Amino acid sequence: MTRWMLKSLLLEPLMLMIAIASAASAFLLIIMFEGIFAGESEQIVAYVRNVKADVWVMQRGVSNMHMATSYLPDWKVRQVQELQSVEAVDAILYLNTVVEAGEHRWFSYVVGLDVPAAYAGPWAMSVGRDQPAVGEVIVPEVFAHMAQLEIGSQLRITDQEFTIVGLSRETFSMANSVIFINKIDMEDIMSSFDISSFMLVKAAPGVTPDDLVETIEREIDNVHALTAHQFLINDKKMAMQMGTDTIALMTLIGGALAILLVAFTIYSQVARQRRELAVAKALGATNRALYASVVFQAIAITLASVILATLVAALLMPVLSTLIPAVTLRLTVASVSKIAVAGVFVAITASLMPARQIARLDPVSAFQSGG
Amino acid sequence: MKDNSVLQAHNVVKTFGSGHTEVRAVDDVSMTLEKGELVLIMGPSGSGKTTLLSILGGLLRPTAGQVYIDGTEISSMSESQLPMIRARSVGFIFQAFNLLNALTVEENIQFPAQLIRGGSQQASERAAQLIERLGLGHRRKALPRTLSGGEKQRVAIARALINSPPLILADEPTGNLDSVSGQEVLMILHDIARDEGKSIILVTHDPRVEDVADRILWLEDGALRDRKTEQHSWVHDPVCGMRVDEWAAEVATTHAGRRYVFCAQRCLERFEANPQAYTENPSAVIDSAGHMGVDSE
Repeated sequence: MTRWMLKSLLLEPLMLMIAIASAASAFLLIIMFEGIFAGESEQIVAYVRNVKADVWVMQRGVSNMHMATSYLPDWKVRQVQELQSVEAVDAILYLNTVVEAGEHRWFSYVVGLDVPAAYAGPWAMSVGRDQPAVGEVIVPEVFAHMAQLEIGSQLRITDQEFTIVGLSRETFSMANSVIFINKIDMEDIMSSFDISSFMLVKAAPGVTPDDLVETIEREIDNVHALTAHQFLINDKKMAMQMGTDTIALMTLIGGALAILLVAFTIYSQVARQRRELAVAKALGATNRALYASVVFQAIAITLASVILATLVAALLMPVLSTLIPAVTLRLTVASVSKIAVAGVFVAITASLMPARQIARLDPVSAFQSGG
Repeated sequence: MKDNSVLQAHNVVKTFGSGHTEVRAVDDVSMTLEKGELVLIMGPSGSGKTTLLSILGGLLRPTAGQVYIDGTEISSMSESQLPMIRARSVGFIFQAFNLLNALTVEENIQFPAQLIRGGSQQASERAAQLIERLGLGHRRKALPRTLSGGEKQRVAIARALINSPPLILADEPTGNLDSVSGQEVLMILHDIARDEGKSIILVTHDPRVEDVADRILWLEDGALRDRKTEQHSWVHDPVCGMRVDEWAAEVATTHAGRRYVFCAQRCLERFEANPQAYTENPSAVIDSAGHMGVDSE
């Protein structure tokens, strides 16, 4: 029965290819939504992931960076620096705000660096300096390219003008890019002095991040310390939460489209095979067996569509990333697995439509001449 | 019930619709079919032949009455029980062959074996025997679309036999075949009844079958009646020359104010493609006594 159904599909290769391509386009849409979401989610936490801190220290009650506000007096920074289990501390002042360059506006993480910053600054440079002096700014290369900015160009952060002295890599995201300025400028913008937002702490040799967290929380009042690993998890969770509803809606739309396309294909296939299905029923095939074989057809079409969509996405994503650098795309195993599971759901749901057709098939119609 | 009977039908009735629109398609039919018997059911169009065949094969449940196959009552079985009876106990042969287009000759023959538990295990060997017996060895891997009508019907016969059912039901098995292929198929069915002891019910308009049938049943208005021999009007198909009962023929056309009957659709199609080729010599008429004469129509 299974062989019959599979061979029936292959009997009309053009129809089969159209069916697979249609369903694959819907799955491709979902993979792209997922890819953009995965890519942007990774990019939103690019700063936290790439700076070389072992432990992050922040105001008590704060546990992530994305869209968060944290204030630490500088004397606490000095207290942390003096701990024996600490090798180094980079303190940053951080603000979410809009950066303007001509007609272009970007929502950005603006990081005020206590220059010279050992490891809190940009981790990969395309061109220029990685330590901004007062009145200077380091922007993402993609950002500069899109706004046609270059070294020496001016841009505005709140009411202050800055000169670009460096272009960084891996710091751009559609949601928020990472901009680096001097901490003195940041204090000016925020009208707050002798404070930091976060301490990026490196542990002394032989001290584990967990031990360091414990030491800081014991020795320094009213601060919250987290290992870089845990801080990244928290930040990613927060970033994901903010886009999950949107992406879930998009996935739902793509999924519904896929269900409709596969259902239509299977429905048409059953309609075309109506006579043969009636013959099979007359010969002794049960409704259950026929239905199972139709589900098998749906699963075969769906899995072929998922594989095709994944292959196209894998080929398309690097091209798209080059053509549209503003978009960060990631094809992850988790995304593909999710699509495959969704595919099985799509196949079974799509098979429900022709189930009624099969149940109502009259085996007596096999006696009608013709065909 | 006699030990030797394969099929018994008792007072079978089938009605469609209700009230003013009720149609009695099968009207109180009783019959018995012995092992190895080849029985012909004939009758005019719309007489209920196919409905009766569907009931006897477990495709349709009767409104009243009982049907037994090999001693098992199938008329009271549920819809979920009937498929297994059809797969195990009945072999179907259709006028339109009804082969599965995507499957090869061999796969088509084995198909019903896959519908019963454990059937696939012996199916290969049995299919190979049937393929050889029915002269299909060279077409084993062919798809139905590449087969001639006669080959298709031989595949259908092999498919009907794959599960060794005691009962074969054939609906106009020669209807779509030329005279040579039709004759060949009839002889195969005759041999199956004689050599394998299969019981065969054959619904047909093909008068040649009468020569190989053990019994002929006449169905009219859904009921079995005495055959009206006086109403026979034997004529020759103008295309193939086969003897056709004009009174019962289903394939007919009118050309130049004259009615022509044919043994099968295929002959009608040939006739319609070039009527002049077949109408220059008027077809001969054979009366019910078998005497030749000139068609007086």
